[in-house]
Amino acid sequence: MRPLTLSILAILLAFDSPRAETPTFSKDVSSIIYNNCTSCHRDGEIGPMPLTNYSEIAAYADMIKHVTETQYMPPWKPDYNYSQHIGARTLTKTEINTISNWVNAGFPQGDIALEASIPEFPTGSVLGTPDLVLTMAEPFTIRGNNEDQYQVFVIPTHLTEDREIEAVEFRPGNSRIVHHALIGADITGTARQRDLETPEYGYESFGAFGAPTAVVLPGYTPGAKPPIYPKGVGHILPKNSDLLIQVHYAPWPLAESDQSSINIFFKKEPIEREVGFISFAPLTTDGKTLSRIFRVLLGEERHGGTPVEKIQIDKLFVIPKDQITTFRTTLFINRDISLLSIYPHMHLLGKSWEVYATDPQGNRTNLIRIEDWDFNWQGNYTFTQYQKIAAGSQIHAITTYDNTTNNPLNPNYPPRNLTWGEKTTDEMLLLVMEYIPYRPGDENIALTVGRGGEISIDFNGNGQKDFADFLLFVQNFGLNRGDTSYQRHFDLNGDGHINFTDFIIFANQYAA
Amino acid sequence: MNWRYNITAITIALFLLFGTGLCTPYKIYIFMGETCPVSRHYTLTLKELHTEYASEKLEFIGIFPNRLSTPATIAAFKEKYALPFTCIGDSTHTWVNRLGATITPEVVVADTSYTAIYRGRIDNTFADLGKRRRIVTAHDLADVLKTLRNEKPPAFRQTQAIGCIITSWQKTKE
Repeated sequence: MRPLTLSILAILLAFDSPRAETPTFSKDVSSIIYNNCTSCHRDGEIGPMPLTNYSEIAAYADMIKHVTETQYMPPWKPDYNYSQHIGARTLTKTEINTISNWVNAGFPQGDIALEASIPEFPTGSVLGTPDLVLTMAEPFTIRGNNEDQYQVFVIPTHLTEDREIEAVEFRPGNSRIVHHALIGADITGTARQRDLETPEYGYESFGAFGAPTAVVLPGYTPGAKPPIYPKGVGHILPKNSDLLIQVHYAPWPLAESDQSSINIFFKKEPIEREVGFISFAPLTTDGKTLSRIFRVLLGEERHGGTPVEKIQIDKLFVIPKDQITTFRTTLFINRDISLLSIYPHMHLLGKSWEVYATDPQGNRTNLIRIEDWDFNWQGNYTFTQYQKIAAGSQIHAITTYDNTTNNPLNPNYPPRNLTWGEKTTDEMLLLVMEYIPYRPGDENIALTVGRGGEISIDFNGNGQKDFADFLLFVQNFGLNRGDTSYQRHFDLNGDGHINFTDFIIFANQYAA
Repeated sequence: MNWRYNITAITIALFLLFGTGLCTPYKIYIFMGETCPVSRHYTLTLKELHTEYASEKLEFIGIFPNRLSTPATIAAFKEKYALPFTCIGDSTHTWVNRLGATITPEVVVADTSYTAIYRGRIDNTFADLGKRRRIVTAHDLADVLKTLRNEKPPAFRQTQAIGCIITSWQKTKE
């Protein structure tokens, strides 16, 4: 198997080699832009300038070169080389160079017959027909004063029994102003009460929901596809719960309105392992800031209690003014679990995150690294494969905050000492991870964005995985990738790239 | 001669000598893009600055250098964001080259012979793309306009505008 693997690798690398001739729009650039940018950069979506044809793209050629070279666009904050998450919006070095060379050469159009076609962007759900649609009761009008706005809306589910959830899809009502959304469920009525206390629809809450949540569901960022829980795995949405959506409205100079909705897909088969949460914050359970050792913030009742034995932090969660401060937190895990996703959260002083696990033998698993934290691009990142965390492992989180005047986002000028709180002028150190109890073989299961969560390498659909499928895979390797339904078959881990990681999965499936 | 005429004459003379502090008219050229989000963001600030400083001798002009700008797209932008000043197209980049703009939004304050006394950002709201300062600490254009209104023109100053790069068409090969 090994010599074969090496020769296959050599072939794949040959396919991935850069081209020498001057790139043209039609032949080289159109597929990169259409498959990576156009889903947001078209009329009515959050991407401001439409990029749907040669004229529009050439008119912004120098800007496109700049934002791709600096990796400001496409927006994807986690370090792709550190750990892999589904739906990664990144360009390869080859793609970035192709764009730069094309712009430097005067952005020639080339032979229009070679232009890529624009993917068909779904106008409704990307997952199919939802089982339940929950819509904001009324439109909400933003202030339109160029400030960010964070509003929580409370939507009663009216469920008469607990329901098992396969996927949750947020559908923005006004995609120009909806920047991102967090989704949770409240069974205490706290959020409902907060809504009643404010004159407007919903209530303002910057940090998170401002209410306890029984379950936190995958949120929404523009361009991302909702994850689908694999077979036998999912969330339970409790009966009579209220769905909470915290919508971040981007700064906007006009008072526009939005009425968003949520599509819910129920499980077709019963859940064997309910998704649980590992969540921590440097607080005691009664909300006081504590140093050294503290308990888990959210009580975890699933699977016989939290798998976190204890948590340590190296110092009191206070961020002194005029300093850059790093906190080191360690979670001690007491049983074998599989992680599905990771959601790091901090506010405007936040600078960086690094989270990794070490098992009792000292083996390291990287979970996420964000070197340039951006509050506006926070998200729940689903791993491309289950991450096994063995009993006795430690999960380390290293977080850095910049409370100096060099941080343009510093909410205080001059800076002030800050600690935990919900407001923009407060800070947080919050990490939420989705997990299930580990079962042997979990580490080989890919968490794809496709429905059903199962991988098929029978690309030609002849009922067998054979050499013809291998040839199809090789043809699509590295050359092209994106949202077209055909190419998605080859992106086996759903990270947006058809690359070596997919090859490993392909080889495993092929040999199985 | 009636003493009233004398006073009027003296007043006019004094006004001409010292009165406005600004004898030469200046124009505030604002390079903008209809689809540039930073341009859109600054429409509120520009309206406030216009209300505060615009006069016969301080005229605001919006210039739209995107190649796809048309009179219709410019008029729609002006109407949507209620811009209170004249807006013109510059898809041939006559004004871009004359005044040395490279970004939208970028302002150039210049006299009638196009000699600039300021080129750059409106204020320091944006530290970089996507990095919006929560507390704005430098109001560059307002400072220039304040000086022009009250005193003699300041020495030339330049700052780095943050926004959408104006695509240069000189290198185009189509």
